[in-house]
Amino acid sequence: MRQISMRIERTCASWLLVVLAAACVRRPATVVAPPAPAPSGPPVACRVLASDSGGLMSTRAAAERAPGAGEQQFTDTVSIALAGAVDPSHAPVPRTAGERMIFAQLYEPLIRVDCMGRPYPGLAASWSVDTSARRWSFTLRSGATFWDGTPVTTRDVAASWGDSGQTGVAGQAITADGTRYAGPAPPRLAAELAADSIILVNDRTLTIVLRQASAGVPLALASPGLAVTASGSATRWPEGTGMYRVDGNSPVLGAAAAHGVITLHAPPGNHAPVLRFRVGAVSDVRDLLDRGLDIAMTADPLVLDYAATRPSLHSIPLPWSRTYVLLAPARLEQTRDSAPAADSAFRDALARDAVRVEARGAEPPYWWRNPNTCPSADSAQGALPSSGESRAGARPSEQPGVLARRIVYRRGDQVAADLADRLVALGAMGGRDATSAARLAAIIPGVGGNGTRLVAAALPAAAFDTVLHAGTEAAYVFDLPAHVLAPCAHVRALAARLPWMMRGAEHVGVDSAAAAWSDAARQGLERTLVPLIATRARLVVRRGITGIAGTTVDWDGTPRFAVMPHAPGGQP
Amino acid sequence: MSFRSRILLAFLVVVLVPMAVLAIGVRREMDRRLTAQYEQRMTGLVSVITEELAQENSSIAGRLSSLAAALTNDNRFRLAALRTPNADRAYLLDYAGHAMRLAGLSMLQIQDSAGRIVSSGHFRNEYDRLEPTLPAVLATAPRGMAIVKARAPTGPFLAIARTDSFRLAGERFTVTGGIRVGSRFLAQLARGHELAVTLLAPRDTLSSDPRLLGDSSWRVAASSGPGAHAASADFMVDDLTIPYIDTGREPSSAVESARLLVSYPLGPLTALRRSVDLWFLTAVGLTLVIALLLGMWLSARVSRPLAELASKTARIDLDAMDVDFASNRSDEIGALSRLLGAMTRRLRASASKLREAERRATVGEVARQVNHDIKNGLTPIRNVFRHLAQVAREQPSELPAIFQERQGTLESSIAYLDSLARNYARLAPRLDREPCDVNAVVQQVIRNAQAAPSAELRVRLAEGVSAVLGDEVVVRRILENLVGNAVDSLELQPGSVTVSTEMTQDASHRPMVRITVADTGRGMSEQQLSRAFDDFYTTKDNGTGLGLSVVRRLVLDLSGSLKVDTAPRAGTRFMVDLPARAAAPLHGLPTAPVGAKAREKAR
Repeated sequence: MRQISMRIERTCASWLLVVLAAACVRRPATVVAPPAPAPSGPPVACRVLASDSGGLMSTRAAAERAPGAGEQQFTDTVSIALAGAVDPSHAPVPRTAGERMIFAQLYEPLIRVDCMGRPYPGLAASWSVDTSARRWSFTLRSGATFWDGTPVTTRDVAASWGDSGQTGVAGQAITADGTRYAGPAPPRLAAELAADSIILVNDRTLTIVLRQASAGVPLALASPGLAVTASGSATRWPEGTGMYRVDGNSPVLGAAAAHGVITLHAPPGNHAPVLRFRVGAVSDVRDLLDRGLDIAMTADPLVLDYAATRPSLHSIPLPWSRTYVLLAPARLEQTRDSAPAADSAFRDALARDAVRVEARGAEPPYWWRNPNTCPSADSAQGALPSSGESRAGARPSEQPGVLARRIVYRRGDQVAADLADRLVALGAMGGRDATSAARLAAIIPGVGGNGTRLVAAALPAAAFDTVLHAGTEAAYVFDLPAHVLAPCAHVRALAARLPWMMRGAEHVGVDSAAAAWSDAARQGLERTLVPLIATRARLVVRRGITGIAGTTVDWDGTPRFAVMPHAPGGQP
Repeated sequence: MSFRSRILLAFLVVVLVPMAVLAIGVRREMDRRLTAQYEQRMTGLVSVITEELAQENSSIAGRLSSLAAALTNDNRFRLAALRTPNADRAYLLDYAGHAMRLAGLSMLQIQDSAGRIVSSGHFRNEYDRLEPTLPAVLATAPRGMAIVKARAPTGPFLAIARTDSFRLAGERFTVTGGIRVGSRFLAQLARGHELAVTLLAPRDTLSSDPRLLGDSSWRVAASSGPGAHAASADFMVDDLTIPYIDTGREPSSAVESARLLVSYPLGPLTALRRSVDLWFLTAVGLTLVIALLLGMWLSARVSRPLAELASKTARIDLDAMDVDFASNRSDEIGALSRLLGAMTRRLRASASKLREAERRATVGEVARQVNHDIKNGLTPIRNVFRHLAQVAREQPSELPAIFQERQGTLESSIAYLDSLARNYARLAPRLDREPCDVNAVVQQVIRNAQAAPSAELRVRLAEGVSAVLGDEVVVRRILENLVGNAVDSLELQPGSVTVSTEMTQDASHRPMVRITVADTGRGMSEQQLSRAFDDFYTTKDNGTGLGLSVVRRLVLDLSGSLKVDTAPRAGTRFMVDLPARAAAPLHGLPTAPVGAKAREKAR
């Protein structure tokens, strides 16, 4: 009876946590103004595996989470399958879902943002802001070290934010006695925050001075691009400050690492299990699950359907993390007040029928449509396309007589392929279905009639980036993060990949002022990007695994399998 | 054209004409048979392809039928297709894709009774497209099959398609499927490297051998209308006509025609023809060479004995009759040689007789000449003696004076006879080339000449005429013969004989002495003149026929020349040119002319 009672309790608790987690992940992680005083860690609502009734969390893990619990030794190994290749050279900025997952375990920014969009301590244990809201001070976590045991100082932080070729510039400028130093903001910091300068107060405290007060700080400091790393280690993996580090036996070369096993382990004394990631082109995930795989992060409907049939597996949805968009350069020629591209019914139909993954119609707000004027950034001027670049790409609308126009997508992206196929199908219906033709013409101006034939084309990633840069195709289908912490920086970065779009900026009369450039880029993206659907992946978890009870998801939906113990939060 | 060339030409014609006829005939026959073989093979291959298409059609039909049966029994599909709430629409959308791959098809679409695509395998996201006419048109197509231009996300493709149907809850669904018609499919139909199968659709062209599409010769062969059995220089083409439906065009119910062209390259046949031509040309060339050599050998073999006979015949002369025409050949040439040998022997006998006759004639001539010459020498003596006898009888006292007067005549006649005797004694008189005063000889001959009273003898001697190199006796004999003939030509009629001398030059500008003897006698006709210098030709009753012939020989002996100017009843004029002394200096004689002025003496 006692066992039954305990099981019922566990089940109830598990369902409660799952419901809470679902409530969390279904909320859009909207980036908001400076948050309330930071908690010491993510809320319980962000814990995706906090269920022991179904065996997701062991009793030992529950004891670990309980306040005042004594230290326990966890030697369990958790095997995890990830979709997408992992290339250490990308660290700490992830490019694939697999890299997002692994880099999140290895590298820390100063702060982190939980699934609710609230900051909590990362490498920085506390932070504060002055009354002008331009000077933000951060104090590093006491005892923070790199993997090799080297203490992390503010010089390392500043050096990490420099360009790869400028690593250590800030450190060299510091006087020998280590007294305070003031200098221009490192490039990456300037790009993300529009920071004006940085002051290294001492080894543990630094101050970031903004050009103007911004509500984006400190959330923007949680961007993976500002994660603190150090190079020079024996492996190609940059040294991080996270709890996990790469096992020495893990592959280090990019190509090898793209398809192999990457093992992460915590330093002695931590009670986190070893994480064994299977990345890249793994064989059928269902086979891995049958052979004892603990966790799989996937959106593959076959795997999810299979998992649903297996009592030992549990499927946990992650937040809607990716938004698939269609980029139609020809839309740039339309007037500012053009009709909306795709209505919600159309987007929902695409999500329901066109793709095979879990999807829904994309819903605003979209970060590239942020109405707030972005602060000017020096780095943005560097991305400003020259007049030559802006004319380099001849767009399809300038090529008369082209009958077959392409909707291109990255090879291997099945969701993008399905969306492109559906758009092509709508184009083929043009002569018989006026509604479809109108829908398509609203998305891609100039198509949908009998005289134009659309085809879908899959391009390798490099080729896709090239044609995207040229803007010569009828449309592009690709995915964007559903949420970003620094919208202006992402708008600038995305616009920098689309130099042809700035002709639209000229068209609407925007001058070349750096501050206005971002606004023009945002306007260009707003006109050319048509959000289609949002997708999410799921964690397929084996019931009864131990040691990862504290797994949470961050603002971008990336699970973190362990959370470092944090110092008390600061005062934002 | 020589006999040898004619033989050669005839031989070549005889060899080459049959050879050429043989070559043309064999080539034409071979061409006809090979073409027939190719056409037969082509027809067989087209039949095979037709059968394979029928099998493919049957196979597609079977698979569609199985699918239709499976769909009828698939409740999950049924719920989704009938739009039952909470049905698994994803299953419906993905059904055609899975089924298409399972069935080994390239195209599969399931449509409801309204023609709306509810699931598409070749274009998963083509659901909801209205295409009601395609199943209907396919159902009515011949053999239920057509080439359909289907859509795919990456572009259209061609497929052999047909349709089937099934019912769910009373609603009729159609399942349309087919297999892709691409270069690989056409290559499978081609079944080899030689045959090429090309699909000519109204707006698409596919071929198992894409290189064909750029071949102008193939395009020529392919441009013939449907159903034609066409051929160009390099290809033989046959075709099948298949219904064609372009689902991307309006109206989609329009059925056009596609042609499945089966092309058989005639390259091997052409190569065979060229090879045969080459070998025939080689054979003809070789035959030509051999015939030429053989003809040359044969013609040489035939013509050489003839040439030898001609050469031997050319050597035959009265003085050379010893040509041997003996031959062992038994053919016509041998007979001809023997005939020529017999003829030569007869000629030799005749020549011997002729020489004997000539010898006898010559002896007679000599005798007559001797007689003539002696009479010429004796006549003055007889006249002197008659004169002396007459004086002794009538005027004895005058005899010594007269004798003394006429003694010179006697002595000169005696000397003449003496010289004549010495000459004849030598039989072959050898000319004594000594300076001779022509004018003196002329005067002496005129003086001794006997002529009728009606005849007038005239002498017109030029002064300063050089002496000639020659024997005086010979010159006298020349003049005596010419003057005697001139006197005879008067035939006792009144007339004159004029002997004149003058200096002249020959063609080489050598000084010559010309002696002209002209008479006003009867003259000679051309016929008489042509024979006047022949031996024994005479127009006089008592003539020997040797006078002019002797004159000609003597003039030639003196290195002189003789010209005659005569006409019937217009007299005759003989001109004898003798080399003057200037060309051969005189011995013992003055170099000056004999007379200082021309003398004319009438007798």
